[in-house]
Amino acid sequence: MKKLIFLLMTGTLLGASSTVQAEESLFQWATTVWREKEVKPVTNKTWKEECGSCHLAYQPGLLPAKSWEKLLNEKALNDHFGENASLGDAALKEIHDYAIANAADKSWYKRSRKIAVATETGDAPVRITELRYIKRKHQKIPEKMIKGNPDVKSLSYCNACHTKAEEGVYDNDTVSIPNYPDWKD
Amino acid sequence: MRGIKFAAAALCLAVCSGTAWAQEQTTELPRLTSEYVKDPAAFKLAANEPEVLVKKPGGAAPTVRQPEFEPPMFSGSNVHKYLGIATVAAAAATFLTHKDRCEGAACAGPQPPRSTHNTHANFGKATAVLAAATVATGLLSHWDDFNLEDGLADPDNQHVLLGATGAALMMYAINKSARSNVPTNHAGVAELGALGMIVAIKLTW
Repeated sequence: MKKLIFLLMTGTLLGASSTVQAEESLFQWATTVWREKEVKPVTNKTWKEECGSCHLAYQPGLLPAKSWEKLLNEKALNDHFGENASLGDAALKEIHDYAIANAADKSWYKRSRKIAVATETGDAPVRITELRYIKRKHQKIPEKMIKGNPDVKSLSYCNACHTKAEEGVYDNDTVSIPNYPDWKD
Repeated sequence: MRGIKFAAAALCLAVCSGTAWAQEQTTELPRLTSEYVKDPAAFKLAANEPEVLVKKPGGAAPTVRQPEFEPPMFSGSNVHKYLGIATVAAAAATFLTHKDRCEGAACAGPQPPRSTHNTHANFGKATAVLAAATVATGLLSHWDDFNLEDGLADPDNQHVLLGATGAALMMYAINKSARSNVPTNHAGVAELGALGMIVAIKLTW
């Protein structure tokens, strides 16, 4: 009886986590021992090649699906933050589908779940740096270390400071701000 | 004697947490020039030398090639993680070393003499100290991850609430049992607390 109550409580508590959704099942997430604290690393070759040729191939789990819908269409890519980033139909479809399937609101990774919660309501953000959560995490860093830092210049260059950004790891312990190696949050 | 042991254990853990926290607060301390000499790549980065910059085609922004970076083995975040795991391990050991006996007023017949210094009791006390240290290091190293404006659906908020509640429940149960001269009902509350901590860890694992 005690064991049954135990199992029921475990199930209820895990189920209560309303932020975790689809793709990977609840059971898979609950039973895996691998860490899923960060953002799911990019596994799609086209994504890595096409997006990564100009900037860090940001993980799809950094924005919700509604944001990727806004960003990944022919019209939007013709003016992708001031640059022409248009793609062929096949590549665009593959990238679009990959982004939607792995968007923050479809991921079980903790940082993606936080982003999904923070963007659940309101307009779809198109810049990762516009996210309330991301802004808050960086608000204590003095401007001289980002905009005034010739090796960083902007928050958009995640991998300038997040040494494991390409693996989807953004935690404090892996941060090293160029020219300010001793800075800690 | 027991009080001294407790105080010593608590002090050690507090020093441990404090050291981890202090290590993270060295932000603007002046550095020795010799520190730079050990890492010439940092000089080149500071000077923005093209040798350490990788040019991207099509006029895109160059990305910085970072010098080798080793994440620290000992940080506030790591200490909190290890203490959390140790708490769950100690709670499991407490559970495994318990001996089934009748607890509460409904017990019929004579009960064996109560011991507060057996393996189960010692593991219980260790669990309480570890749980307190886990909460303390969590507050120190992750205080800025708790934001009520993100609501209760936020995994970090859930982690804090479940973890702190779980630790409090375990400490309450252990304290209740330790202070009683007769067997008390404490297992259910302690198990609920341990479960809360396990789920809290899983939510941010």
